[in-house]
Amino acid sequence: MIPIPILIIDDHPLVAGGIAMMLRDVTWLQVACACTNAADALNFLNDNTVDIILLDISLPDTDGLTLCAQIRRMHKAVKIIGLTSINEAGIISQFLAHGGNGYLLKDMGREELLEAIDAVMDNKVFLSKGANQKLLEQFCSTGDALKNAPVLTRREKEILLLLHEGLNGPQIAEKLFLSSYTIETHRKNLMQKLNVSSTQLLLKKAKECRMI
Amino acid sequence: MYCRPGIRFIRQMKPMRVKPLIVCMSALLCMGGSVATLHVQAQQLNEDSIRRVIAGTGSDSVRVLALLTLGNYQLKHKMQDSIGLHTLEEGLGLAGRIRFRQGIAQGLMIKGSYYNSKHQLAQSLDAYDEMMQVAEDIPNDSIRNRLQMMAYNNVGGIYNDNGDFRNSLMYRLKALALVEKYTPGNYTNLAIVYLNIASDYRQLKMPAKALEYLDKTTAFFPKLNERLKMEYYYEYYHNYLASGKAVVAKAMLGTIEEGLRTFNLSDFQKKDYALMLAKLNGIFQLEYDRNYPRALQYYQRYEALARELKLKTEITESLYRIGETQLAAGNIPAAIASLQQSYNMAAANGFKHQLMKAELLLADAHKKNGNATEANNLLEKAMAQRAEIYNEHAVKELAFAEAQYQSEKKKAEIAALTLANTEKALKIARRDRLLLAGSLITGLLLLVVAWFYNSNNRRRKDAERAEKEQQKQIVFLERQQQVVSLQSMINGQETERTRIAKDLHDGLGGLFSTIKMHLSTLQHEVQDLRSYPLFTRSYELVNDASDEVRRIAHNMMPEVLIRIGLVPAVRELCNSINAGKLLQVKLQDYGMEERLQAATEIMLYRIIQELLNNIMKHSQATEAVIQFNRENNQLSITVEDNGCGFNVDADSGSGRAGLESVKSRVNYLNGSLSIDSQQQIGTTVMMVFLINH
Repeated sequence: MIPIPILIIDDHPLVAGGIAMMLRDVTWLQVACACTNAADALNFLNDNTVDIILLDISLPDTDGLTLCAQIRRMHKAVKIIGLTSINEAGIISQFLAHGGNGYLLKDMGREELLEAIDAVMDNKVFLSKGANQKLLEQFCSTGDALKNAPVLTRREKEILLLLHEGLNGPQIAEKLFLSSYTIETHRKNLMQKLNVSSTQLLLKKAKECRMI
Repeated sequence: MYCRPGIRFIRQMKPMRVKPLIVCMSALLCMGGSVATLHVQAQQLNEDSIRRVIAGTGSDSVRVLALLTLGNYQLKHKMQDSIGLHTLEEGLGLAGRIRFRQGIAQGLMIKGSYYNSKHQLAQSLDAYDEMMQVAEDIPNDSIRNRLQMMAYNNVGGIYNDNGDFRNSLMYRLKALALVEKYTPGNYTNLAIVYLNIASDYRQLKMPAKALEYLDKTTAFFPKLNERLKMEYYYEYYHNYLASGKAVVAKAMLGTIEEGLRTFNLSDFQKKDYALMLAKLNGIFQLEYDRNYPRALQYYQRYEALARELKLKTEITESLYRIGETQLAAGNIPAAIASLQQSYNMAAANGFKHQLMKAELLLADAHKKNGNATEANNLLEKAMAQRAEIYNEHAVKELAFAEAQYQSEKKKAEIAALTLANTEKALKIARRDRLLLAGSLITGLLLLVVAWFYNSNNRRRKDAERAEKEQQKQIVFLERQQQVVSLQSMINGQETERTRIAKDLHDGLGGLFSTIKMHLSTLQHEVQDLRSYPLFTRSYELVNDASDEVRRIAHNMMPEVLIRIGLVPAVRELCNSINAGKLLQVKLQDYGMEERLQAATEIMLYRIIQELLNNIMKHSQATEAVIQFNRENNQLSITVEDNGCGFNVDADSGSGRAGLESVKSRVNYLNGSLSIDSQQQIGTTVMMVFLINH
């Protein structure tokens, strides 16, 4: 059986060594190459084919996300697993969006690494426990904001009601002890949030959305 | 109606102790030498001869004067109003056609005088105003001044008639100025004005001043015509009486009687003055000497003269005076009879004032006679009469005020027209070469002066501006310096943070990761190690250390902020806060697809981080909203919580340091910051920035 070739891209030689060490008794896997920068990695991939790439996001020459996308454009089938110490939902989701198949945090154990490789080779998406947690947090907390109707701030609600009562900007400013400029900004924001171009349309849309 | 050129009586509310005399300059009285042929006494006017002049072949100007004289005669002596006005207009028309300004002015004077006698004050004042305008253009100094003087004098008379003695005096003084300046040798004119001024002063209750002017007249008294001499006596008499000099006043009555006997007066004038004298003597006997039989004699003579002259007002008054005297003498039935006669005549002719006086005195007589009912009846009537008179008086005053107003308005219009005409004339005159040259030179001079002034001014202004500019630049530079130092400080800080974060991630983080990998491999290869608690604990601690490094690095500089952008970084921040369950932060973003400059994003991130820190630490809020709105190059960020709020203006307090750092960062980005906090409701922070592409 020919072992599955793996490419490690990490600017930290120690990390690559650590991974190689973890995989040294796994016969069906073989670390084909360890590159410390994007240029080397791309050069290697021009001449060689690998099945799995372990990609660090912090690279000295290119951003890991960009590199991920570049590799994905050239090699549709290769499985790219992020391997970083960054546990941030934004990065994780972007990595997946750029063509990543899995996301591992560098403090993973041997079992998790093998589990990830197994999963991606099975055409599944793998997220390490911590990364999975982050993405779930994000999903939960943005639940409200993802709905179609925007959420109004307290001030926006007040201003909307006063506009509905027929007051103009300066009158509202006087009533709320705020500057006209601030009121104007709130009003503009409201219009942008409800995607309308005038105060009249704003009031109409707000009524439709049962905001007033 | 009693009417006589030059002298008029006016009614007074009080019993007529003093009768004001007003000397009115009539056209006839003052035309003087130039029209000597027409200088005739009205009473003796021969209408036929005048008509012959009008129809004759003489010059047009003579015909104008004839028409005016005839018109005046018809208006004032024959009471032929429409015929008289027609004749007058004919004269005025002819005068206008031949541009005979003196004629126009004289015609207007007759018109003004006529309307005044009809109490058509607005027309009267208009006529006099027009007369003054016309007179203005008369080239002959003496004629012009005489006409203007007469206009002033007669307008003064109108004011006097209406009880406005101040304005009357003002006009008379104007007339006097003209008289003294242009016709100092014309004693007639001088005397008329002096006498009128004395009359005004007397009615202003300043008899001392009045006597001063009368004394001035005394200097040339012998040169006066006899009629004016009589007026002079009368004025003296009234002023003596007004000053409480009854004895001298009585002597003056003797002088008047003497004058009446010796002066060469017309029959009409003789009777007129005799009537006046009888009345004044009667008043004096009744009120000062209390010699009722003598008073009665004078008053009976007064009545006889009034009847002879057919002057109804005078007859009514003479009957009243007789009744008054009889009442004072205790002869009540006779008094009632006389007063009743006066009453009937007043009622028949509508002499309201006289009617009221008769009623009052009749009531008195009936009361003394024991007829209280009749007395009360009459008193009531008298009261009603008085109310009516006051009313009429008020209406008259109003009418006069209105007339004055209209006249003033017209004057203003005329002034505007005159101004326009003057401007036109000036324009024409400008064509004159001399004037052109003059104006050129003046213009050049002005230009030079203006240039000097301007350049001086400009230099001064330039210097000021330069100084201001310099000041502004200094302020700007100082500010820039601050900005630069702040920028370099913040940038340095952020650079340092980024570097440390990277070191932590890649260096320390990598090391920990590698240790963990090694331990993991070791654990796999040496299965027994799992049973060594020290090994397991070490493995866990390395794991914790790795997490801690990552957390610190992340706080130092989130990778997502650098690599993805502000909103995902803030979202990350919110996620981790929301995971804590104490505070739920919502994030909304509009128009934030495009990334901002890295430094700006970091700065904004730090601001939001600080605000969220404050909310978590101090506000006890359970909810917060972060909102990004970007439209073109304007970005507004709203951070709102539902916490306990704080005093925005306080100098110290919890979270103050954090707020200060927010302020300085917002300033650094040239943004505006509005913090609006309400106790127990929450705080809304709004920041607006202009984004450079």
